[in-house]
Amino acid sequence: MSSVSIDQTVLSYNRELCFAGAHCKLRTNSQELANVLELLSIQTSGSGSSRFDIRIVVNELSGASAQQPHFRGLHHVVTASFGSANVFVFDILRRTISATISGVVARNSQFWKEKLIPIALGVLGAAMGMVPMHCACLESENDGLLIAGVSGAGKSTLSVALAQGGFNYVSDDWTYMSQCDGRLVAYGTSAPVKLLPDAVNHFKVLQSRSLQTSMNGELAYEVDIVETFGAQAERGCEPRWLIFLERMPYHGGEFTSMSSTAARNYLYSSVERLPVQLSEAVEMRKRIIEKVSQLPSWRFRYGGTPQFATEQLREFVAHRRQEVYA
Amino acid sequence: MTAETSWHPDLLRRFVATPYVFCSGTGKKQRCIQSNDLGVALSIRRSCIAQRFNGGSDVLLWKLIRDSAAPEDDAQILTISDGVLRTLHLGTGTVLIYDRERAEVLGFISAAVKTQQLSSSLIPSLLGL
Repeated sequence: MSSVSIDQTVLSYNRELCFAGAHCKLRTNSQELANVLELLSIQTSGSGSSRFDIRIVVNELSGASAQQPHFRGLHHVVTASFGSANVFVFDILRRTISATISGVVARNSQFWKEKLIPIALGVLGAAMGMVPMHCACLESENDGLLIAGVSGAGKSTLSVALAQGGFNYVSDDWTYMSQCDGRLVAYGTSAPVKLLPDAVNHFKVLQSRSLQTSMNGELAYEVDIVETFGAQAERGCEPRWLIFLERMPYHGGEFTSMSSTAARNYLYSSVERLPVQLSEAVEMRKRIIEKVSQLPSWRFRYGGTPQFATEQLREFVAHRRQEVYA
Repeated sequence: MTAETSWHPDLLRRFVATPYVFCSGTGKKQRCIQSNDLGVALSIRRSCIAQRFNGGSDVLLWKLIRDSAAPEDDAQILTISDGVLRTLHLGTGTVLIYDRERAEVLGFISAAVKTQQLSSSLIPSLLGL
């Protein structure tokens, strides 16, 4: 039996980090891990109240790499094991992550960027007044555009096309909504864009990339949007519009106004159920969902290429702005 | 669909029904054992009655899920203590959590773990006995 007593281990390396607008106090015994996470940290302006603690003991004697994740949760505690040597314990009520990991995982920047940081924000988010929402987010001239839709609707493909068409990229799959100084703010992480295999038909640059098995078992291209497509990335923005994306079998595009009730129902359907022990988090989440559902919402049905949809959305945004300034 | 319902799947198995419930005492001193496995619930109840968990006698809630979907990999035991939380991991399939402040023991037990091993070895290790 091996035992790790985190509170009795000297954790000499401390860092104040920021992920998707959430402040994180890291304590670890590994300088290398502290440096890896510092490079992934994105400082944001504003005084967001989202914060959590993370304490990690790195076992340099272990060479175990991260295996397929195994998640379980009861009441206020969630555990994530990436093999038996890499274990994370999330205490949602106390907003704390305790972990013991191998030196190999500590140095694996990709693991933190693509897996652990998004997981941490997803698990602890609700308790920190941050709601992970299944939608993409693009920004143009300080106006944020949230694009929701069921899996396979083409959010990521459209996000890339929009980023190539002049929008700034915030996120393609999960967007973290919180309030900062009373304003609704949407943040992304530095997670890669996940594009399904048919995206190669729209973006030739993917021909030189290979498909990978993502965390949910899907085959996909996982690429850095800035490096691969030369896109401009934004850390966060204030969302102005909420678009529900739907594909249609024939060429064309149409926008239909949606009620806040329909928007609210969709948003609730995409968040996870929380246990009664987290009733305070449920209330906080309700307030943010209410605020998001009050954004002007449209259903955008389109058929055609993502480049065609980009043109449609550009015109849509221009019209909305004209209405505001008229 | 209403605001109260969701089609998000229960990936963490947080909402597995625990029909086997034993409670004793009343009010703040009430102790409850909940499980989806009668053998597990009875084993914990017997151990509590026999006061086998002396150091853990303050536990007010036991919620233990027999997890048939859990992987049965290596049998290495790892305990992690941090503040009021102590967790015990047997491979990746069995995880037990002791929250000292809330006086709760929660956990998932893989199919390979016998109730005897649970009550005589794993729980005493978790409670630090």
